[in-house]
Amino acid sequence: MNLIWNEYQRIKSILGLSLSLAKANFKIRNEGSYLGVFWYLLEPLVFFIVLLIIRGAVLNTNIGNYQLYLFIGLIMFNFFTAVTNFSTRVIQNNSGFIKSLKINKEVFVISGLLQFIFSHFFEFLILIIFSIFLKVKLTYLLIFYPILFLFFCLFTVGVSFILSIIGVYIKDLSNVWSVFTRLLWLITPIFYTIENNSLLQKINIFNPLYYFINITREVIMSSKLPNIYWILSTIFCSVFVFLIGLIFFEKSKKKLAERI
Amino acid sequence: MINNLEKRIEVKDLFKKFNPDFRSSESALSKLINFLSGKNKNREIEILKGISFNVYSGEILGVIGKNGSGKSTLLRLLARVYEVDAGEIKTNGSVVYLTGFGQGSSPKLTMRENIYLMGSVMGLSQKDIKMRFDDIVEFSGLKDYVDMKVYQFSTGMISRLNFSIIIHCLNYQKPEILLFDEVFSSGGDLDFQEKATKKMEELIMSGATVVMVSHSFDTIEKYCNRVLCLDSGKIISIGQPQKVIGDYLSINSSK
Repeated sequence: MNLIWNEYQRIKSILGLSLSLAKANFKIRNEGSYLGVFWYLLEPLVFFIVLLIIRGAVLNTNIGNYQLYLFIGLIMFNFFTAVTNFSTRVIQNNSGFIKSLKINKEVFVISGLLQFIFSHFFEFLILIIFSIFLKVKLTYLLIFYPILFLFFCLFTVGVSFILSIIGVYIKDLSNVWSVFTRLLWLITPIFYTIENNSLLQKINIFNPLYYFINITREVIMSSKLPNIYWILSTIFCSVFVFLIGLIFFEKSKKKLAERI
Repeated sequence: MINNLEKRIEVKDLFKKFNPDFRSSESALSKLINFLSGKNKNREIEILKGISFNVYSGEILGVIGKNGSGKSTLLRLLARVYEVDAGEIKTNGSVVYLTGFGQGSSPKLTMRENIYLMGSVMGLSQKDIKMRFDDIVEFSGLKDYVDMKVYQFSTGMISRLNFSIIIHCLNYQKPEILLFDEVFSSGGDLDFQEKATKKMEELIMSGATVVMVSHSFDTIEKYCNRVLCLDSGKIISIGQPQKVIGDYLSINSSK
């Protein structure tokens, strides 16, 4: 009982501190003004517009509401890239704290996550505005989005835990990782659809992001609950990745201070 | 008499090694090349070679020694920032480790935001910081600059701010064990220095167990009950301050 209580206190303090750090980081990045949020939105918006323009020229897709299809894919992928890229350098960037304080090191990774959840919230607002503008019927199924997003966060933070540790041992991991995410961006059907039984679909079976994005699209765009097996396997995958990441982080965190 | 006291820190046969070649192979490319060429340097330097001592409740232990003799490593091991290679450390009570007041604040945030950030990093809740906010500002004497960004501060002002935050957080937490790594001077002007020294003395004399590393014999002689002298990872002398400082000086002059 006591143990559970202690663990509860520890998690509470980790989340509290992560939130303070995330707030501070957010202020630093935005130079104290809320207009700074615009910079977060700039990238997905520009990509969105460019892809809309070239759509007719390159791809012949027959998706109703291509705009919505594209935007959901963009903001979800953007979130994943932002958090994981941030985590490749996060331990280095906070070496001052880690070397001089006995501090729960998880807070640095989690603060990165919280920071980008905050900006994702704005992207989501734009998504809602789009939907209303495009006269998409939004149903009660929209409340599934936060739940889906929660599991997406678990998955992302699991990957981030692993990357943050590797980033300590390999200083230029961020270069490697940004190339990797660029590849992933092309493989994942964000601005195109994939046909059944094509090579791309076979590759995407092993791409967790594909599942997350697809389920979200079905929930928001066609207002129907996706295949239950898809949902279960996605949930299983996110919890699994989260636990692996957490265990890996807990095992390696003791050695961090002397490596930076 | 000392046997009746409670042991706060117990250190037994402590060993610590570092790998000095770690930094030379830190990028992915050089790791790959090292792997392919089969050159895998694994030199190790022993920083601490079997150290044992005890610190008792309420005692103030000074640690002296040359640069690179393992003083800071010892403190970091006690604070659990580093992991022990061999041997064991037992601490009884909450531990706080301090290394100077120069760093910690983020230059791009205002002083108010910095107080909240550093307070939460030191382990206080937002409510607790709010309660102490006025005291911290008052003590630092920077009342007119509360909403100014810290990069506009002078070096002296920054160390005054950091000192005020840290000392107030410590006063609140009342840790049982304090570890100081060269932190006796606050870096402010004469007035502030006086105020700061008084605060530090209050903290040390409040009954906490203190281990402090210092190069200033004045400080050591003034506050410490016992002194430990380290030389290349071994304890060469431990006991009365005057005696140990004498030993330390005689080693230095004989070399």
